[in-house]
Amino acid sequence: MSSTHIYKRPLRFLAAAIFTVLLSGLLSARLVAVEVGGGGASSRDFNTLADGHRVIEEVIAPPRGLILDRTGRVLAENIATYAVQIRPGDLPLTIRPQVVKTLGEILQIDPVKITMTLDRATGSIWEPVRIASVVDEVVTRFIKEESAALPGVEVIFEPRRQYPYGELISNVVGYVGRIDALELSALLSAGYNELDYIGRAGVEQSYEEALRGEPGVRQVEIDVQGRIVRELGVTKSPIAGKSVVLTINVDAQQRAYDALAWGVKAAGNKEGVVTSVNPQNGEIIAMASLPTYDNNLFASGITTAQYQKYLNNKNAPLLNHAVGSHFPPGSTYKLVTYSCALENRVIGVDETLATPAYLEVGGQKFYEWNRAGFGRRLTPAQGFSYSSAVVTYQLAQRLKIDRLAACGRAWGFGEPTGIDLPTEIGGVVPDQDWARTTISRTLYDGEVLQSALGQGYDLATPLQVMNSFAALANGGTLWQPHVVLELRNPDGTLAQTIEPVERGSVGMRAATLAEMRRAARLVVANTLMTRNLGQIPLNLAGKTGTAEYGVRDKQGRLPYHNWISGFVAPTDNWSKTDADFAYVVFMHGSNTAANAAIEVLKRYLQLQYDLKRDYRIPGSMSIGNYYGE
Amino acid sequence: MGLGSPITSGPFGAAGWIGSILRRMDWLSVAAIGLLMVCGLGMAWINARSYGQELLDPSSIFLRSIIWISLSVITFTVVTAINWRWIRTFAWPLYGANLLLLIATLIFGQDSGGNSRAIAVFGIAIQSSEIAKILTLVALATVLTRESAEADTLSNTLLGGLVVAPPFILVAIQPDAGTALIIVAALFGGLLLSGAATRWIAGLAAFGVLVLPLAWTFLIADYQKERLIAFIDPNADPAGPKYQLEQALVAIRSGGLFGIGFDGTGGINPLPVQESDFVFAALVRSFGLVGGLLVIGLIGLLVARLIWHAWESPDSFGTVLGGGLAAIILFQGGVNIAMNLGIAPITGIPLPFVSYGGASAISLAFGLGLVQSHRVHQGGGA
Repeated sequence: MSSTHIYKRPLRFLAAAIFTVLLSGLLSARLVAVEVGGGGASSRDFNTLADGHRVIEEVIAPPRGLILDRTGRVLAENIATYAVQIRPGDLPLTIRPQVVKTLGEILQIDPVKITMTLDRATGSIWEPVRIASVVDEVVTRFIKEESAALPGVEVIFEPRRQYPYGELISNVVGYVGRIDALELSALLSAGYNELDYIGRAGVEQSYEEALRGEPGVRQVEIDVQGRIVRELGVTKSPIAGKSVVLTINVDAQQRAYDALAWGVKAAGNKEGVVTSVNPQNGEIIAMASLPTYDNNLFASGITTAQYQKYLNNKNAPLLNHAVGSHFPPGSTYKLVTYSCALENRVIGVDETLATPAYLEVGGQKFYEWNRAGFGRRLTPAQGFSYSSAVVTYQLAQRLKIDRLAACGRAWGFGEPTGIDLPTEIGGVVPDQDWARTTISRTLYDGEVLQSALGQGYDLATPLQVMNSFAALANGGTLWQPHVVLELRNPDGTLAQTIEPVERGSVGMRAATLAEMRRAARLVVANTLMTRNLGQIPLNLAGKTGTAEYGVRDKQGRLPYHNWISGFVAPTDNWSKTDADFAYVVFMHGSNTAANAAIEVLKRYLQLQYDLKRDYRIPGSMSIGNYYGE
Repeated sequence: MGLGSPITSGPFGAAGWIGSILRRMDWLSVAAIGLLMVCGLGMAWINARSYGQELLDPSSIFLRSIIWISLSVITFTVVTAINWRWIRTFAWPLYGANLLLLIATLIFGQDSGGNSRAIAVFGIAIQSSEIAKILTLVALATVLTRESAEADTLSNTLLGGLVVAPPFILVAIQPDAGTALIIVAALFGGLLLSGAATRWIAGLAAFGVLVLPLAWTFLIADYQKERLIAFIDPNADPAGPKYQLEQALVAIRSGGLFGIGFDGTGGINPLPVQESDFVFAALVRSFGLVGGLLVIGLIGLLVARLIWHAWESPDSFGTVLGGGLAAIILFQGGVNIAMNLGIAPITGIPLPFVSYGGASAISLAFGLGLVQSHRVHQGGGA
C-alpha cells in the first residue's frame, strides 16, 4: 500500500529539526533576556526595559481623625462604604453585554442604565466609571468572587464621614466635601489630591490640619497610560489624623438646642441662637443655631436640589449665626455704655438722672422706650435695670462717640473673638473715624445716641455679646472662646490641650465691673422688665435687648430681634467673679407679645439646671408687639 | 485479525501484547507529554488559588483540570492500544462528523465572549475547533496515503488542500483564526515531510494568498473581519492586548531564577486569562526561568520526537501524521510562548497540555496516541 510510495527528502527533515532547535533556542534566549534584563528586584533597571514604564510616588490618604464630645461620644466618624466601578479598558467590548447583564443582576440595576453610564463616560478608557455607590458589603463579596467573569469590574473601598448627631451640632462640627480645583491648587504641596475630602465648615474646617493627619507615600510603577502596573512599596506610612475633643457635651448641646427649637417654633420666627460659655476659660458649653442643616447629607453627597434648598432659605441654615451673623445688639450693648460712663466718671454710682418722656437733640425728639418716662430720677444701675433710653442718651451725651466706641472695643466688640470656628465676623463699633471712611461724614448727635443703645450702626454677633457678659462675670478678662478642648492621637493618648487664650482685659476698675454685675442682677429682679425671671432659683444676672431693624410696617413700627445675655453666679455675692456659666439668647425677628429671648432662656435654664418649675409665661410667645427693652 | 497486532498471538497472550506495546512505545515522548501535563496540573492548582477558588469545588479550575488530564491520559492510552489502521478506517466518518460539529457550532454555539467557538453537548462546552485540527490531520494523512497517491504530484497536493479547506474555513469564520492557522500548519507540515513537490507546496501557498482577498470580500461577515483584524493587528484594539502583554512581561520578570513557587499566589492579582493564553507567564512567575526553560525544552523534545517518528516511519501515514502533529505542537507552543514573551501577536492559542482546556488536551492526546499506535502496531496489512 502507501508504504510503497514513500518519498522522503532528508534535507526537509534536517531543516525541520534545525528549525525546531532554533525556535526553542530563540524562545529560551528571549525568556532569559526578559528575565535577566528585567533585573528582578531592581526597579531602576526595570524602568529602562519596560518601555514607557515609570516609577511614581503616590499619596496614601490617611484616615481622618474623629470628632468627639467632651465625654467621648462620637460626633464625626469614618464608616466603610463600597462602590462599584468599571474600568472600560479592562472590559472587552465583545463580552460587555454579558458582563453588564450579570453585574446588573447582582446590583439590581437595569443593565441599560449601566451601559448608558459607560457610554456617557468621558475621559480615558482606563478611568474608572462609577456604577454604584454605598454598595452592600455582601454584594461586593459576591462581585469579588465572580471577578473572573466580570473583567474590568472593580470594588473600591470608600471611607465616608458620618455624623451620628446630625443637626443637633452640625453648626459646630461642620462637614467635609470633595476638594475643589481652587483649593487643590493651594493645597497641592500639602499632599492633597483631587480625590481628597476637606473640611468645609465648623471644626471639620478649622481643625482640618489636625484631623487630616499626614499622608503617606507609596511607590508605584505606572505604564504609558498612567495605569498602576504594580506597587513597589510604601516609602512613608500615612499617619492617621488626630481626634478632636470638643468642650461641648452633647447633653448640654441638646438642652440649648431643645430650648431654642421650642422658642423658634413657639414664636414662629425660624432663626435664633442659644449659646453658653464658661467665663473662667472661654470653653463653649453649648452652641445652638437655628435653622441648621444635616451634615450627613454632605457626607453622602448632597443633591443639587437639597443644596439649593439650603442656599435659598433666607434664614441661612448653612451659617452658624452665633459667629457668622451680626445684628444690632440692642440694649445688651448698654453694658458698654453704662460701664463706660462709670469708668470714665461722667457719672457717679449714686448720682441720679431725670427720666422725662423724651430728650430733644438737634430739634428731634428721642423718646423713652415707654414714651412716658419713669417719673423719677434713676441711678445708673436703676437706669440699666429699667433699660431707660433717656438715661442712656444722657450718658452718651457726656461720653461722646469716640470714648463710647473705645469702651465698645474694650468689651470685645468690633473685632472677631478668635473662636476656633470658621466664618466668624467682627461686627461694627462706629466712631468718627469709622464714619468718615465708611459713610464719608461724621456721625450726627442722634446717631451717637442710637449707638449707645446698641442700635443704628452697631452690629455684633451673639458670641460677642455673650463674651462681653462672660468678661463681666469673670472680672474683666476677655477669653478667646473655643469649642475644642484637646486633640488626641489615634491611639487615644492626649496629643495637645487647647489652652485658654486671653485676648485681653476690659481694662476697667473692679468697682465699675462689680457695680455693673449688680445692675445686671437688678435687670433680672425688675418685674416690670423681666416679669418672673427673678423668681428662678438661680443667681441669675443679665441684660435684655430689643433691636429694631429692617423696614417699618403700616403702623410705622419696625420688626425687632430679642436678646438676653448674662451669667449665672454661684452665690448672691455680686462682688465675686467666680461665675462659671455665661449665656446669650438671640431671637431673630421675633415680634412676640413678650421678650421671646427671656422665654427661651427660662426654658434653657430649666433644662440646664434641671429646675422643676417651668417659669415660662403662657401667651408670651404669641404674635404681639412687645416694645419693652 | 483481532483488535491487537499479530504479535498478540502466541504463548504469552495479552501480557505479551501489552509487553510489545510497552517495548515499542516512544518513552521520551511519553515523558515529555507527562511532564507537560504535570505542569498543567500545577498551574491549575496555582490558578485556582489565585482566582480564589476552592480547590475541590465543582467549578474549580484545579478539579476540572484533573478530570481533563485524566481523560487525556485515558484517551492517549486507549488510542495507543488500538491499531491505528482501525482509526484510519474511520477517518472519513470522523471527518464528516467533525464538519457537522463545526457547522452546528456556527449555528448554535456561543462562548462566553459571544463568539461561536464552543457548543454545548450534554452540558459540556466543546471547542469544536480544537477537535477539528486533529481529525483534519487524520483525514489529511489518510488522503495523502491512499492507494494511488504519488507524493510529489499536483493532484496529491491539491487533494490535501481540498481536505483541509472546509474545516479551515469553518473554523476561521467562528472566528478562531488561531486554530485555523494551526490547521494550515498541519497541512504544510504533513506535505513538506511526506515529500510533496516544493513547487506545488509553493503553488498552494500562493493560491491561498490569492484566494484570501476573495474570501475576505464574499465569505466573511463584517463582524468576523473585525475580529480577524484584531488578531492580525492587535493594536486595532488599543486597550486589551497591549495591557495583557505588559502584565505578562511584568509577571515573567517577577519570577526570577526559581520563581515565587506555590506560595504567595493568593496575594497576587491573576493575569488576564492566565489559565490559558498567559499560562506561560504565570508559570514563569511561579517557577522562574528554570520552569520556563523546562517547558520550552519539553515542547522542543516532543516536536523533535515527532519529526523523528515521521523520518523513521515505514509508511507515509506515519510521516504525514508525525509531520503534521509536529507542526501543530511547534506552532501552538511557539506562538503561545512567543506571545507571552511579547514577540508574537496575542491570540487564543493554548500551550499544549499546560493551558487549561479539555478539548485541546484530549484531541492532542488523541493525535499523540495515534502516533504511538503507529509505532507500536507495525507489521501486518491494513
